[in-house]
Amino acid sequence: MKNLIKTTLDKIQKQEIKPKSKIYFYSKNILLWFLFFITFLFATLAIALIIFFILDLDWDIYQHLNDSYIENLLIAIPHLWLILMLIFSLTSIYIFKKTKKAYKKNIILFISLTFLLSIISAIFLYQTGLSQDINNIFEKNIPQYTQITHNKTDQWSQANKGLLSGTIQQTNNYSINILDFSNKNWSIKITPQTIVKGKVLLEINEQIKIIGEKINKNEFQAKEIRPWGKQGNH
Amino acid sequence: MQAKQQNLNDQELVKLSLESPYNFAYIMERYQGKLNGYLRKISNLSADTREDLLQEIFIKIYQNLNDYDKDLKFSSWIYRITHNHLIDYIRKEKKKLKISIDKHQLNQLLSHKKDISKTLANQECWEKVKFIIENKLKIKYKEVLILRFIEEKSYSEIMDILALPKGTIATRIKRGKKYIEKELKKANILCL
Repeated sequence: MKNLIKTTLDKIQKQEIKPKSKIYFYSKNILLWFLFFITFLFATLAIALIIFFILDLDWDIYQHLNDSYIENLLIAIPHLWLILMLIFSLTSIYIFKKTKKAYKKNIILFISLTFLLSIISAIFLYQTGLSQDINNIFEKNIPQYTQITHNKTDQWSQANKGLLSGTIQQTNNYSINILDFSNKNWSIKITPQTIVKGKVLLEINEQIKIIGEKINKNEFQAKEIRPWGKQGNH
Repeated sequence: MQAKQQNLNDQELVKLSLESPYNFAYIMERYQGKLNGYLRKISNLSADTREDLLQEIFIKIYQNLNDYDKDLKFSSWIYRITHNHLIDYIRKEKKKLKISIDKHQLNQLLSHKKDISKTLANQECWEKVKFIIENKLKIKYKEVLILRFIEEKSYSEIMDILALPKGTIATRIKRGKKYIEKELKKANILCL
């Protein structure tokens, strides 16, 4: 132990060991906060997408279906964005904990405030339409994306379960013809008991959602018709 | 010059060490005994291994002098580097962190127990208690108990050394003590 100081100094000199510069530590710190900010931003975007998916879907329709309510709800939950939100949130917490004085801060308060800020920012992003734009970009550019997400089109393209949607091609007194989103033609039977919700004009080129029953390969009995837009819920 | 530097405080020595590595010798001189003692208490490493580790630790401290945060006590900062380096070494070498304590230190550790002096007088009981602390107590409890009761560090210093919140430190101290007592009861050691 007596020689420790001497041998250490010799090693420092021989190997020309120098103290790392202040800029090195400063950059490291900045990089850490930058990574925190990026993961926080991605978590916020994921929340904005979750809000978009939740508000875009019609949650009231599951009570009309014969299938399990819970099962349908579980299918409709935006799993991909929930998982991504969790991953980015946990990563940002991990990075925050790696910052210099994180242990001196109240971590629960910090996480709560960050989460609140994230939700407020996500609501703002949803309101500006950015979450829908991002979703459209993913749908157009990543073929697998539509397979792992359950969007409004998926929700209303389940003829066997009694949910159908598409664009009106032709109208008669007691039936309309629509082209669904997979380009399949359907003849929709309408009776006096069919409920028409919201601003539905039953005009050619109008997009509609239908709750009912599949009668034949290309025939569907309408119980309720809604406009494709959100106002159909009210 | 030598006497003058020996009277300087840690922060002044850090400043001088950044100018010349020779000044770093005063920091090493001031802390080698304390850090060696800490390594000895928290691990069962041989004197040679501890010396090798200490050299690596001092080089690390020297390389990171510009990262020293003046809001912390210098001693807390170098204890943190020592602690982290030891943990890295133990992980790398897959060794078990085994504390090595004497009767006096155990007395400090379990000072809330009324009859501890009687216990320590009983050799058989002392051996059993020592075995439990050295072999069964988890690292996370060992390190806080040693820093608090043997190194006699304040909560604030332990926070800075382990980079953990105060609540976590307090919980670990409480759980560590409870664990020792539970293990003693489980092993039917009723001498405490």
